[in-house]
Amino acid sequence: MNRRRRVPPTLIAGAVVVALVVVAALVSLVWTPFDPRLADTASRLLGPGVEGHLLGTDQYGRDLLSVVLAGSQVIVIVGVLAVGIAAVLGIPLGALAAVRGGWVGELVMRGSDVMYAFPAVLMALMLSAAYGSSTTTAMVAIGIAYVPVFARVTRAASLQVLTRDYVLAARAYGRRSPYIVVRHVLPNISSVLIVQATVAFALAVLAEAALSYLGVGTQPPTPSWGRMLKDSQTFLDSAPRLALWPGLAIAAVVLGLNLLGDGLRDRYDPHAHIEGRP
Amino acid sequence: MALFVLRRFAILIASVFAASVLVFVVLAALPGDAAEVQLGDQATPEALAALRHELGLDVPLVVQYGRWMGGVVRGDLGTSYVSSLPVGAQIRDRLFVTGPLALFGMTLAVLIAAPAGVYSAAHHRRLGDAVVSALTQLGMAVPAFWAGIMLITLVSVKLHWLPAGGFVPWGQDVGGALRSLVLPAVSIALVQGAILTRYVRSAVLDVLREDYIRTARARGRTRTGALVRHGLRNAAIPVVTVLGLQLSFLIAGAVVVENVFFLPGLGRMLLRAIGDRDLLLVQGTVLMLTVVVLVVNFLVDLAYHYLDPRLRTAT
Amino acid sequence: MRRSVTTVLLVFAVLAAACSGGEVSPTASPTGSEPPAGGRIVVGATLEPTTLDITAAAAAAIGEVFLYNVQEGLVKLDDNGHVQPLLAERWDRSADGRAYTFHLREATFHDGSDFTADDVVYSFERVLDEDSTHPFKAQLAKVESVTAVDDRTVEIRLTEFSNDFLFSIAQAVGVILSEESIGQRETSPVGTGPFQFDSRIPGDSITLARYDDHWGRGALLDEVVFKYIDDPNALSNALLDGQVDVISRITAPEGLGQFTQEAGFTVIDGLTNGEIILAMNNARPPLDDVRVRQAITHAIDRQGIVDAAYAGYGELIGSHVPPQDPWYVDLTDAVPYDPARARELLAEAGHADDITLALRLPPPSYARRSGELIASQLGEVGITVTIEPVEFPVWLEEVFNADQYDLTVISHVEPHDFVQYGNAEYYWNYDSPEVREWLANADRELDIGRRNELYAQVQQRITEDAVNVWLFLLPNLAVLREGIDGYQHNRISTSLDMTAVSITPRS
Repeated sequence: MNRRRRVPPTLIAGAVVVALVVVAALVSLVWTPFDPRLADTASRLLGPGVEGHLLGTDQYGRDLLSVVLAGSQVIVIVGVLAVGIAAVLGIPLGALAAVRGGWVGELVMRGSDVMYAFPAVLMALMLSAAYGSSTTTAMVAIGIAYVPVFARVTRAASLQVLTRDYVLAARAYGRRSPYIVVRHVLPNISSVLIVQATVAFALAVLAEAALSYLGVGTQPPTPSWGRMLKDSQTFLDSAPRLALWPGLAIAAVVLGLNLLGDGLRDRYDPHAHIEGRP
Repeated sequence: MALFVLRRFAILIASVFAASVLVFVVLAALPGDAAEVQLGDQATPEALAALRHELGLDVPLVVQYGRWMGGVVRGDLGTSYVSSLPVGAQIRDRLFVTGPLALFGMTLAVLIAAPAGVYSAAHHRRLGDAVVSALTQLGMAVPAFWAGIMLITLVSVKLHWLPAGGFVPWGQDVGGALRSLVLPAVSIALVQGAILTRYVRSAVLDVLREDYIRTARARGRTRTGALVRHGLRNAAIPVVTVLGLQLSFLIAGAVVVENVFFLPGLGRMLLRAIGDRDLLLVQGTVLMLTVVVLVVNFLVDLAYHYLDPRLRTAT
Repeated sequence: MRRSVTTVLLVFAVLAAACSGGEVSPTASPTGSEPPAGGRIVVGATLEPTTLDITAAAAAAIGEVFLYNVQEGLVKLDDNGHVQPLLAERWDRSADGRAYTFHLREATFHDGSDFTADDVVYSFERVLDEDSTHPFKAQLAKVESVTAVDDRTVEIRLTEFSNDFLFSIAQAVGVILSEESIGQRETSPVGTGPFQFDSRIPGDSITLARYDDHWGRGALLDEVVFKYIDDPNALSNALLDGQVDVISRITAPEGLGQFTQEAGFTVIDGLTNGEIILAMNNARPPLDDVRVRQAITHAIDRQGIVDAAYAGYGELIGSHVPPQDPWYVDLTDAVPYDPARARELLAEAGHADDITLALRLPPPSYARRSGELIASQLGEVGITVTIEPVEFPVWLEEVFNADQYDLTVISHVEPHDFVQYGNAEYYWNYDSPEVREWLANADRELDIGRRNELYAQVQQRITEDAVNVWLFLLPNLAVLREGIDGYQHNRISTSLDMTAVSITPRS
């Protein structure tokens, strides 16, 4: 039995978790047990199982389960768009650096070093100071902060591919660089990029949660796990479940994404250079 | 070697300037004209114009940037329009909280990661490795601020072992100050430690595969003995590099954790400055933080090249 | 006949007030003996002032620290909202109410200079000056002249009698400053109060030290530290830990349960002048239609908001006057919670389900929490609300100054601030010539009964016109650790008056 062909359990576990989150996000768009924005003040702070509220209600009388489910929407949106921005900007830059080399490559790498000094949270704080706090600001900031990650990984992986025979053959045949990149390089580094994307997605989820906790991310009344954690802090002694569920949700999503990334790497390219992923 | 150092230093300087431009450009869009904020709605247009001139806001952005950076290189980060207090002094005072916190967190993380990573690598493909792996997965998935909140609930509120927040000034009580930093540092270290453990494990595994280890074993050393004698120094190299790279994440973690535990550090000051629309303070703080990261990475780069003889002779 | 009886009663009331000495001790001393002198109290406060100049900004945070503690006016407000002597030991008023003669005490400023009538003239003229940007300049609109008769006597002439005059000068606008030290007012203010400014750590604390040469009984404490902790958890923990001795403002009342008597704490639940309102921009359609505003009022379950946002602490009010004001009319149930009626009114106005409004919320917890509840409740009757959280500088600039908002939630803490309903330029954009006339007449009305009648009419009208929704009265929630006496029960002015506060060291 060829061990390499077996699908790693981490991959399966991760994929299941991620799928659940996506399903939760999609389903909650059209249906949740209760309206997550309806504050029924007469039913505040109910315990789990009371009056049909599976997890109870929060301090405003909103159904906890519905709010948690609805919170997955922001997670998915931010993750997809932040990673999208980072990839769309970072991959071409990395490919450029690899193909051109010389001072262009040097400039791109030095530039990404500078960007590296701006962690996502710091970038988001700056942007929210200038443009106001919102999901969009957080998303754009996180995306920009991860551009160097994709640039580096693309460059490293591309450099390896560029020395391969079929690339040299293509050059000899007269093909121009953009063609080579699109036709030969990108398909061959795609597995690395996908793994990097899952890592970046996980980090984006954590960053958005931290920003919402600080109050500079997703704003009310859009449900947000990070903000829920902040609001629940004054109720820690009276109703700790208000902090438990959003925290678990975040951890579960990130764990799932990490497992997925690990699984994909084990399956396709265990020795690939992935940023932020030992 | 000297040429290498010089070249890297030049790049550092260029990077610092690039970072400063980025910070300045992004924050130039900050709403809330400082003159209006200070004088309020009763201000006459003449008073506003006079104050703008005094604050230097009526010149083109490029000139404003030049003045700001000119002051920065001389060590003067400006005076806040909002509080009339010098920015540099405020940052310096806060640094005495954030600095030790980051150091404390990093140290704890290394103390967790070194033995755990080595253990995990030594028990590769056995139960020990699986257990550590599961733990690190959890550690990386948990947000640092949630860990902080849970720690407060458990350790401070229920058990009363450590303070739930706030900071005792160093001048007042060194022991108290350290106690105030324990839970915050642990919150940071849980996440960083998990990440570092994996790096250590990976580095050690790589080393274990190397020829010189096999040679040592062939000569009769145990695996652990070979590892300790020959491998650890080489395993340390990539880990040290990683520490430098992780610094910006560590700082981000410290910024958030400071707000959970209400520590008077750069993180909390930054958040407050943003709320107050204190442009110079935000600019100065962000620039400071990025400069720290760039400088540390520069030093790590040098250390890396010094430690790795292969690279040393190559240059 | 009735007029002269009233005048006599007024004179007696003034004399009685002047004789009472201005001391109030709302928290009784347990042994009845002299309260202990000395000691240091750390007050946990939430909003730190950015500038320390009480004449530059309207921020209540400045008055909290400096009003009555460091800087004094001719008169002050006591814990029950009555005018008491301060730097003026007594005053006479002409029969037509247009001239006040203040007889001043002997006192010294913290910078060593003597307090004289010239300082009073200087301080008032600073406010009244044409180019002055004093935030409360309008409160002195009726002041015609301020003259120093001699070193210890000042005459203030008004264009006409004003019921609010003494009340106004008892607060920030009437603070007497020393001309010699005017240059340091932003960083280390000088006054005649029982405490002097000692030091400040920005972002952390302001420290006051006792001024030994105070004209009066002086302060009991050696030192007061205002420590700024805006996070309610951190503030609670600081009190439990002992890092602070007092929490001056509880913003998350659900946490009050942990401060029990057994644990050694006293919870204070007093009054403020803070009417928390859902302000509506009366000039913006569809809010310019009174039916829409009434519908919004009917749609809001105010008790539910008090329960969910403030753990049940907070009295309901029906208009812009707190119950402690002498002309208060109870209009709490005038426009009751009735979602069905709300939908009816909206349909009548032709807006059954097509209204979308932006609710801009400043940072305080009462605003952010009420805001989420309001959005939900208005959603129930077919009004879509989008929430826009903003920081205070932006709120001041855009909502308060530029009227760029549909709805907002804010607490109006100034006493007697319902006079703003006569100001068509005020950010509510409510323009009622009748209300304006009643308010103007009331202020110049020498007869107290008639004045109260006019104010009652104003309250009725603004409630009928549903200018804003009066959510509830901000309670004065504070927690003291045991051993503290003399702490004020209410928060009538912005001041946190520490003059009569003492602390018994923990045994």
